[in-house]
Amino acid sequence: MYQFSLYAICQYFGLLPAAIGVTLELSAIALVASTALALPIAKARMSGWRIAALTARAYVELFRNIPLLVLLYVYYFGLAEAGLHLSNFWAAVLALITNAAAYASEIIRAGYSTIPLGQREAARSLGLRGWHVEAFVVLPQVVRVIIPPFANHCIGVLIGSSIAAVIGVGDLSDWMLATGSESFRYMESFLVAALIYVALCQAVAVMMAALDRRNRTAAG
Amino acid sequence: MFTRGNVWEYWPVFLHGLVLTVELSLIALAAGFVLGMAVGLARTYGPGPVRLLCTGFTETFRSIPPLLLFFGAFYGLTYATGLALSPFQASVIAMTLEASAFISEVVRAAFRSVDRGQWNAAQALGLRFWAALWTVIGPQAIRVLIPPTIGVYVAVLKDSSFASIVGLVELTRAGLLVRETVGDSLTVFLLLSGIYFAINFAISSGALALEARFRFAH
Repeated sequence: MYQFSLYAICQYFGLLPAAIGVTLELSAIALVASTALALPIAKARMSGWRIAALTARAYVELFRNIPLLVLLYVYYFGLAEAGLHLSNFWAAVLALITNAAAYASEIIRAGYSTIPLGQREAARSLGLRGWHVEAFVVLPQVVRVIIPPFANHCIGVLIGSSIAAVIGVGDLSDWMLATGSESFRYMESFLVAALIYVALCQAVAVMMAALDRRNRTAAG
Repeated sequence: MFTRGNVWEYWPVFLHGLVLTVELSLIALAAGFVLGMAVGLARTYGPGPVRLLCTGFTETFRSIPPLLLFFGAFYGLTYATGLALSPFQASVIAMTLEASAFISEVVRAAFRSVDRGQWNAAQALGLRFWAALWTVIGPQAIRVLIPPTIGVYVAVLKDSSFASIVGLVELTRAGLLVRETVGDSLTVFLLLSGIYFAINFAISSGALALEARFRFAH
């Protein structure tokens, strides 16, 4: 008869910090790199240059509509066959980056659309030029607007990073797969991993909400 | 080295997988819609404790990666309860939970978007809560609800690829099997990407068109 027992898997708890570390590392690298990539994509999509706008749109549609897992297989198995050997860690990061950039660029684009044209005109009439208008007037306002949707996006990337387990990167989901199949304590390892994911997501949500509040008060 | 066959010869395998993927995601969406509607309505109109419980449900299942849900539903439930769930049944459970969390958010947003005055008007006409919800508020919320629900369907369809880890031969697993036989990884996975893209792009384009139509109908 089966009896639920966390004690049965407590010998694997020592591996948790490293596994959580890998999950956070994957998510953090993917978030930073994808956001950096998303800004020019969003800019291109809003630009009057048709080819750039079309290319950006194609990128977004393509990477939003392919499952992350399949993307990972393309990078890890497909590219290896074409002669480009990525390590499992970087294949997972690349899948997360290319996918997250599509979503982030849409968030950024929506953010830009809320900034009235008058802000640019006002900045120019104050004597700001070229990129100064963007960097000191428009972008800070965009950042402020996109914090709430970006919080959800961060959680999405964190959850998405679990694909890495499929190719054995050693993240939190991988800990669950390994612990489950070694101890046959599938339910226990699932619940422990799930609880940690929920806690991590809540932590991100709380941090982003605090950032949002601070920004709102700063804006007066 | 193994001999390399032609990926295209295996089109019936892909087709079979595709049918299963669509079947699985449609069942999960339907079941998730019912559960998500209940949770979403309880979160919007229920008493305090129920609201808290439903918020907990949504937040929990939104925060657990689909990979874990499939694992938990298949291996976890099988070992813990002794139920011999088939990969298909386990996948339906996992995806229903995920879909219902997303849909409960959509439902809540849709019902809250209906103007407060509509409730007052319904009350003034002598309608009770359920009658008002069914005849006045519901029909208005449904229009707002449909486009994002289609968005949820695309997400569910994409996440159904994780059913491959519990051994269900849906589209992704079909691709993995063909890859094992033929060995042409790049073609197989690019083909998979193409199929998923074509379906999802068609669905989301349809959703956009629908959204535009609803906007004009107002």
